[in-house]
Amino acid sequence: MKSKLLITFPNSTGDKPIVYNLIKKYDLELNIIKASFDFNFQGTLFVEVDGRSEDIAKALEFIESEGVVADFISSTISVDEKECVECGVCTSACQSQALTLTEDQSLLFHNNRCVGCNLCIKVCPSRAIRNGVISNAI
Amino acid sequence: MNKRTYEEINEKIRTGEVVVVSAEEIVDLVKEKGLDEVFEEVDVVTTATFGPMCSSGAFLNFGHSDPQIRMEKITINNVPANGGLAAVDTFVGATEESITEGYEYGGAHVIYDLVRGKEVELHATGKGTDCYPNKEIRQKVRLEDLNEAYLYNPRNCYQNYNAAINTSAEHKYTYMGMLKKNRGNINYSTTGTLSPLLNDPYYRTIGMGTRIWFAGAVGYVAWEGTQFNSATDRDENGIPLGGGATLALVGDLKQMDPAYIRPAVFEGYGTSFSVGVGIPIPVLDKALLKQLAISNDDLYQNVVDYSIPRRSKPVLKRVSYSELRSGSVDIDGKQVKTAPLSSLKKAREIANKLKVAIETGEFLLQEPIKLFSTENKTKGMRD
Repeated sequence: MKSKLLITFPNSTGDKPIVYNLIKKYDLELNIIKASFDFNFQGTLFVEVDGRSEDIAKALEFIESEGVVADFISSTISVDEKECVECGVCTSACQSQALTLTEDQSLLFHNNRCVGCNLCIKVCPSRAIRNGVISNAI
Repeated sequence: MNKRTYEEINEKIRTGEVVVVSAEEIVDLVKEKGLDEVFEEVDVVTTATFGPMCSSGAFLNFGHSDPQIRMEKITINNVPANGGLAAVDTFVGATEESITEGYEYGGAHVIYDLVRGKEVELHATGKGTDCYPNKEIRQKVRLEDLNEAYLYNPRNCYQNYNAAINTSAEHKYTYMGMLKKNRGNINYSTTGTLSPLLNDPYYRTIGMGTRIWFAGAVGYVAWEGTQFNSATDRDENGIPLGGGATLALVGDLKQMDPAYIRPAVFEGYGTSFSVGVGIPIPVLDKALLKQLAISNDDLYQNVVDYSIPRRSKPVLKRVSYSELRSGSVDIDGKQVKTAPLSSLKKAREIANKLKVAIETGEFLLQEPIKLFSTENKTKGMRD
């Protein structure tokens, strides 16, 4: 099962090898999309996680027991269909092909390809792309 | 038959016999059946565009307060509006920015909110005169409370335009959107074969007084647009290599459909405004039909380097609309992603709505009162 996690580390966990354990103990494949930590080792990690669902569940228990907060991110952005005029200018800003135009010029959002860079939110002239979940965190 | 007149077409519209197709459909139709057969069949071709154009705004009349005020300093939802007109008249420009929110809320948003039926807050002050003693007013108003409200675009419907690229090592934030560094993307604006003035490159039918579909309302071409550069260089099909002509448009805001009006915010640049425009072109003769039948393969734009901060910018390549629309273009060996600023989807809807309005007899064609010059040259500012 593949899912995206936003993991928030309080400064008390800086000395614990949490990511190491996720890989080693729970056999998870981690793909770090974005990470941001300050001098106090306080920060956030946005990762794509791949593994067996029971392992992910156990890993989440482990994370929480360490005092770290993990949230599933189902969608990094959402496109307001009422405001979007489907011009498509976001598609050239989107590096990961998560926003594309179909043959008939409809805008498609491929959630699985989105890496949460939030560039589309900035470039959308209609301000129709919102909920950059990780924009506040990272 | 070699010619068709406006009178003949309007008579067919009245009797419901008129044949209308869109400027996209006409391309395939002529390919399939040839000019002669299609000329016999088709009376009107509908063109359309929906893209950001900064040169937009609205004239508003609020009606007189009691006691009366001569509004000299005016804001609407904190966006400054022009106080240089009569007592309760104003012009709100689309690109004017909110005093508090900057370009995230501008004149374009005020116009959009009015058309959406929202209340906006008018605030005005005046010095107070014998005839206009009131010195300050603050009032929430809706579009329906106003006497007159009309959209006026000093410039819209650019005949052709540039495709924008950035060759520098820094991102550039422009009215063509965000241009990524090192030739990261190309943004272009126009609806190609659907675009009004690409279909009538010598302004034979689009002129002063031409009736248009303007965001769902009936509008008119009021004048030539600003920076009307009709004497520009043209290709073998008569299509301008650069901007070319433009149109000044006017229409009743109260009749407009908010689905075809949209403020546009360009990061690092400012507020702009998109409005849907549909223009019918009567198929007067075969020469005109030939222009209407030009496909996106034969319509070209220049790829222009927007990283050069000068009036004259270098052209990197000439590319067809088909290439631009394919999603990427080769620039010196690099595949560069392309994306449109105008909404082709909205433009298709508009072309279709105009087609239905003509077919059902709601929309008659208006012959221009005056045709535009093909000899007009735009100047730069005096050095």
